[in-house]
Amino acid sequence: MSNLVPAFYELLSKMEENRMACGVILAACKNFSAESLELVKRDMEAQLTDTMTIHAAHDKSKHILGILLEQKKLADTHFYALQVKDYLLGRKLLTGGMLIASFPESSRSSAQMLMRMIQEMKDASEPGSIKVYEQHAANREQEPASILLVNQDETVNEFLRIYLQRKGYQVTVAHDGMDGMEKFREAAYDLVITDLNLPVISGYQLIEKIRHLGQNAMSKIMVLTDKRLEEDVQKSFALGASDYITKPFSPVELEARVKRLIS
Amino acid sequence: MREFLLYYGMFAMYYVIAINSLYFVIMMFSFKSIMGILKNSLYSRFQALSGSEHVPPISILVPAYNEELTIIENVRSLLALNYPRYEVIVVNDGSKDDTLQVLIEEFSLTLSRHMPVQPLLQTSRVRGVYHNPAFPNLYLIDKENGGKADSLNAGINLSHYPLIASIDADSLLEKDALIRIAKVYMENPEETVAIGGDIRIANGCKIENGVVKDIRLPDKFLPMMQSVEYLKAFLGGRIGWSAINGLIIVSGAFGVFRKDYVVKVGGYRGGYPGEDMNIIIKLHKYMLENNLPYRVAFCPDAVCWTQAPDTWKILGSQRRRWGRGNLKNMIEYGKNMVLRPKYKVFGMLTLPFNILFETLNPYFRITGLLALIGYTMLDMTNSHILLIYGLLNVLYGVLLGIGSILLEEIAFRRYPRFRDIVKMLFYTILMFFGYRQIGVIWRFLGHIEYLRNNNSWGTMTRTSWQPKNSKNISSLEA
Repeated sequence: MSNLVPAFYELLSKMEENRMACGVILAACKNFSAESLELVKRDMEAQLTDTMTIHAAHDKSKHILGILLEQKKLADTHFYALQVKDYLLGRKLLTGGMLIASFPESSRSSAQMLMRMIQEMKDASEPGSIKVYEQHAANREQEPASILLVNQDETVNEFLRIYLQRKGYQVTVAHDGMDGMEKFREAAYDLVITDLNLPVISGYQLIEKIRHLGQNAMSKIMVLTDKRLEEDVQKSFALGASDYITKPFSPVELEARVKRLIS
Repeated sequence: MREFLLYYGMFAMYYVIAINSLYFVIMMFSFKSIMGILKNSLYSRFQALSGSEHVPPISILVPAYNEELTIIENVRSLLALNYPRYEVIVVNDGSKDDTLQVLIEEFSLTLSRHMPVQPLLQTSRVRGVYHNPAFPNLYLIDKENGGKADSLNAGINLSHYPLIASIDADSLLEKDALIRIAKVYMENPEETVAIGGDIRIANGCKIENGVVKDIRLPDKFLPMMQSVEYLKAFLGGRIGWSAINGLIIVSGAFGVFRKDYVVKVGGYRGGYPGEDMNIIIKLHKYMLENNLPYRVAFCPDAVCWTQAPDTWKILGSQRRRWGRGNLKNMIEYGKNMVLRPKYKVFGMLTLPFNILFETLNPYFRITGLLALIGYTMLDMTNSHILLIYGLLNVLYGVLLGIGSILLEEIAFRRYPRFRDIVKMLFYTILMFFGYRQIGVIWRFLGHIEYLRNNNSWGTMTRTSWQPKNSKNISSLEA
């Protein structure tokens, strides 16, 4: 996972809570040290025409500079992005394209937005271009919905993976709670189908952590388990699961429920 | 003198024939019931059962003494069992290492003052009960050192459910072991008072996150020997004994009990090893004296993997302890119950068998050896007869060994590779050349220890918890 997410997470969720706008600029950049990051930040604050709070962080492994502009809408963010581009070009720091977005205009969930933006940054674009992040971009509409399947039973995993793939979903399999957690951190999923009986991290903890990572994230959670006790059903829904299916299950029914949850 | 030795020789002959034939009969019972057990589990839907509302809840008791290295992994694996409703109660028996701290840290447990501790049984002072609402079915009892039996009793005091399962802190349960054992209970909940699980040797297996991933036979000599030994004792012996309701022991490493009866017979007895055999003897006694229909069952497909001692020293101390515990139980209960018709199969068959062929076994072996020396000195030996006698002994033993491997291959096939079967056969034969004899000596030494320590009950308590890696199964017999 990019270190931009933890760096901005707190701030973004605070903005989200207070229903304040927040602009995000990502730029493909050369590497520089922490001190020069401070320098760049101060320089830019001086150069920018308005006085405002900006936050900057740098991801060394992915070579991405992230800038957060408090209380700026998309239009403003775009305007400032031009200045940032000039500054970076002037110092020959820019190596690729830039991606901008603003919360809440671009996405309902700031965490999700940030994660997707970082993913999108991977597709290199020509230096100096400024792209606006779109939540429902045309290409994403066609992209199959992604499902993370966390289950210990190899047979169920294999069967469901093939079944759901043939129905046009992108399926990733994790074998225990920890594995599931790590895979969820790496990429955003539209739906997580999880068992409750999992080693290392139990299903409940997994649900809690997923909910904690991106509070309003679009990831839906479906529980698929052997447990048929009332208290398990009740607790799952209380923690934020959207559906609860018990084994033995009908794959047709499961797919219908999946479709209802992510469409 | 010659006369006496001659009669002794005759006696030894009959003894050997009797012991082996009885073992053989017991194994026949195993064969008889294995098919039923196999079909039964084949047609059972354990997966559906493991989420069912109708399965009785179980309290798992895990006594832990100086287990800081393995306890986290084990508790984690216990928390992920396929079972609808259960709780895990870890009892820290005044460990001298950081067992308590690692548990508290790992699961962020906090001291909870208002736990319903019903003092059904007397135990050492409980210092506190720890809990974390995020892990609602995990409890940790911290108490002063009092031995394994004492820890189990403390666990019973806290337990909320009508069934209890005792599990060693360094053993690993298969995910569906509990539901399989519960199924045996559910077949006859009124009469079933205790159910034993199958113990297998985990040395050599690949273990990840507290789950046995790859089943392999041990590479080392001693664990391999024990592997074959356990197979013989559990499959060849205990299935048969349970078929005639004469099971004398449910191993402490994994067994399920009805709490109400355990409490009625006074819980586990501390101060001496062999508390697992002791509780079964007490249950038999209680049920028979009160004329209640009951059964002590064995569930061979509920598997618990355990770490076997791999040095002679630790194995020796384990076997001496078994010898000590066995003798204690026989002196305390055996002699009052043996050959009393009131105690039915248990008193008429199990106990005499146990006393004659297990407890007193070393004495027959040792006198046999002395007699052999006598024969040689008096020049009575006939190499021909001696050879036949020895061969008969070994052949009978090997036959029993092969029988248990056959049972394993028919019913369970945990070791599917052909060379594993060959290896097991080889060790079954090898067992009679050295390993067996050393076992007899250990048992004898255990008896000597018992006689020496007889007056010092207090000091026994502190040593009754054995060093790591030596299991608390009282014995393999029966």
